[in-house]
Amino acid sequence: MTFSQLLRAQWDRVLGVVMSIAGVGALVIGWLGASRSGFPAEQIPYILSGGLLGLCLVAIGTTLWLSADLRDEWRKLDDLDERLEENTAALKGRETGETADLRTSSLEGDLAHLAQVQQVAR
Amino acid sequence: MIVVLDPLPAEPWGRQQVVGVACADVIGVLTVLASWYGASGSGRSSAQTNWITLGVAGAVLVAAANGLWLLAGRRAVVRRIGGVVDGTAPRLGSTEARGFAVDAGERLLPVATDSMRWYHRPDCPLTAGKRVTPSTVESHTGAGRAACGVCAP
Repeated sequence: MTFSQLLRAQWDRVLGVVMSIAGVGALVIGWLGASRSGFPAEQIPYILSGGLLGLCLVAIGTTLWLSADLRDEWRKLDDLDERLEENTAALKGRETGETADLRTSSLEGDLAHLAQVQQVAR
Repeated sequence: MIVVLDPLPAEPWGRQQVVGVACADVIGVLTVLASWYGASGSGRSSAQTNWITLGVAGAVLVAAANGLWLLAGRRAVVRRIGGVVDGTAPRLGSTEARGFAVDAGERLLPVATDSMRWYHRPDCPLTAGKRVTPSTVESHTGAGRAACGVCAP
């Protein structure tokens, strides 16, 4: 996977990492700036720019990363939902006498995956 | 009664939530930057107190917006998991729309044949191809049947 492909596919995680790194950088710069001065009036701007802004950037970056995880779960549930729908249609097809292939092995896999998803959600 | 539900969004959040959290983040960060700018222009710490308050308010806004965003996303995913587990995911429509019998409370009626010893969910693989009849749990248990251990109706 090239870097541009990674950017397109995982833009939220890449942006999250970049913002978190920027946030930590702001915190370090704020700390360095504040530690070089003995006057509170000179230290407060560093606390605001480095400290609070850094915390905001880290919070936004973390949110982006966790949002990407939730999106992944959502897509997995889309897939699971689709497979269950296919299996339900196959079962109904059997009831009406139509030839339908029940993806039993797939269903077992789906249920195992669903159990994992539930565990993560808890 | 067949219930037609709205199609599921492509992600756990709606458009309004995306716009809401983006606006809150931008406003929060701009507030922190404004407080920094304001505090830098003042040489006295007593005059900087109000700017600190403003900066903290901006940071709290960002934290609250992101926290609520994640909470909403997690709730949507958990609700969706519940829908899939029940076999009544919104994408499929109501249980009645899928052709299964339901009671007044929209719960699936378990099914069985006359000769069965267990009653099942209608979509249980063990009922596939069998001429089953939906009925209430009470009537199944009254007929001496127990709940299926596979589908746990």
